[in-house]
Amino acid sequence: MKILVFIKQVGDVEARIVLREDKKWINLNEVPMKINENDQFAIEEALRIKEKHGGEVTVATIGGNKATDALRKALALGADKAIHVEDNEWYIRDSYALAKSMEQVVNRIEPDIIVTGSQSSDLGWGTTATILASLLDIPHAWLVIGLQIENGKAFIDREMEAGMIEKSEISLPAVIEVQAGINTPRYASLRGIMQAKKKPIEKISVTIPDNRVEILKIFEPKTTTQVEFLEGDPETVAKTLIEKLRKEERVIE
Amino acid sequence: MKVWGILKGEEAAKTLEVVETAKRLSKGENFGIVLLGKPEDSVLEKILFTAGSEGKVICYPNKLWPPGYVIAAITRILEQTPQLIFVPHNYSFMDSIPRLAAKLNCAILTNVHNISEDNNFLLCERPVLEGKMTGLFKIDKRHRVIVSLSAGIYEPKEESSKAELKMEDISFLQNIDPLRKITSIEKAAEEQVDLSQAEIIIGVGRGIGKQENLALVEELAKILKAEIGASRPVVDNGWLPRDRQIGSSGQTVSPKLYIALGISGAIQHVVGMKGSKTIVSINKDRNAPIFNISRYGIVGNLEEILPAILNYLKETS
Repeated sequence: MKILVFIKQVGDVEARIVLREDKKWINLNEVPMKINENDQFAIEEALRIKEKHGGEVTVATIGGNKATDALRKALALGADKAIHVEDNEWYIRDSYALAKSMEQVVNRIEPDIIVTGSQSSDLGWGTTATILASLLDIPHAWLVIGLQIENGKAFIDREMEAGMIEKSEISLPAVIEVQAGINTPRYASLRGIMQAKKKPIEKISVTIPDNRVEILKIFEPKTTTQVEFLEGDPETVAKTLIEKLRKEERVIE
Repeated sequence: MKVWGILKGEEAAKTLEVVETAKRLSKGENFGIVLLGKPEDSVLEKILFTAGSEGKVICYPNKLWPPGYVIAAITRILEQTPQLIFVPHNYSFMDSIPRLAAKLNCAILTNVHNISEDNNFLLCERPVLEGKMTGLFKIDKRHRVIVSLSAGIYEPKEESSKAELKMEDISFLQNIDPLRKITSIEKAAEEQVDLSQAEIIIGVGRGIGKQENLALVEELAKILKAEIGASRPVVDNGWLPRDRQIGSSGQTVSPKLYIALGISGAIQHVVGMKGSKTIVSINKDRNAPIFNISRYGIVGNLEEILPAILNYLKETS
């Protein structure tokens, strides 16, 4: 099987957020970069498909120079080759523009199955890969938490609201958008990391349509309730908190 | 008609803000509502009155909607060049609506919690960077746009007269590729624990650090007579069972006290607990979005603060 995985490199804002001067986005030179969390599960799922059914895993991303790091990581985990779609404006593209770029990669690879994360942690549209499926006129499934492939069909468990699961069947080729938790991603072995250095990363450029959705600025969310931060050493904050919960809020005894 | 709202019958009672938003953004002109599946009669009445006399409600009777049918049923009605389409932001619409956007050649914005207009542009606010920041986005009104609305954007208001209702039959679906054969919809896990009745809940997030620290949480739960809940990553790690998960794919709770330990406040978790009366959050990151909905916040290391809380509770009980 020809398996194509799309991954996205995102800024890691766990520790701190640094904005660009124009406030349009975070300053990507000032925060560490990582592979989007859902896409880490997508890489693992692609490798498992290959291990079970044979074939080849191509990993692709859209990004600037640093995106190569994400591709090397995926190659170290076991992907066979990589495609780097060069786009320095990747982080402010809307989902339609990204999907159009991805479509051109798909046409080059002609995969039997496309795997990616269901949502990115940066812009978080959750729509890009589904638009891709529509452009390609093939089925898709969003929030996939279980996948089995048999006789050219994919049997899928999809997460729904309130703890429900949708079980379904779709024909291949298809776009599988995985949810975090579908598997337990492996770590790269030392051998994998060494081999990754020799695996090919092909750089390509594609035609990108104009954005329809433009980001003007980002800012801290408005708070509805004013949080009262309790300050001091652990003993002091513990005492203050418990007394407030007892006497002011009256929610504990 | 330029403005449309689309709802699923079974979810309609919870997603009436879509009708309200379509009504407001159509600014006195006629607008349309498409119902995928017929809701209960009382809910249908609410929809008709919320839409009011400028609205036209078109209702399909059946219940099961694989993506191919969703697209076909909507595009069949919306052929008359819509400008703005609103849907609720939830899992069922998020699965199919991007396909509709591609098909109708629309721009699409998801999880929008504020909309305004500025001459030729539509301005939308929505969370980015996992809710740590809000993004302001601009779309030229010459583009068609689909917007998924987060719950509670507008309070639905009923009008004095109701909208016209038209029932549609679904015989045309016979020739449509559903794109997915849905075989069943079932409960993910037997829910042994019902957190919805708990008065005090301690929510555990990834920031707890390691599984061993759960012992401290269990001790606290015992003293406060609290139930323990979890965010998704904690469950995915196997630290707590799935039936304790709170959030969009778990349980929805509204206790009088919610203590969030090492929970960052990703939107998927917040939707399941934001109705709690008093929220206390302890997190090492002062910028964690959970503090935005908290009454009290403590920035610090759980391994130091939890033992201090336990000691104080034991000393003073």
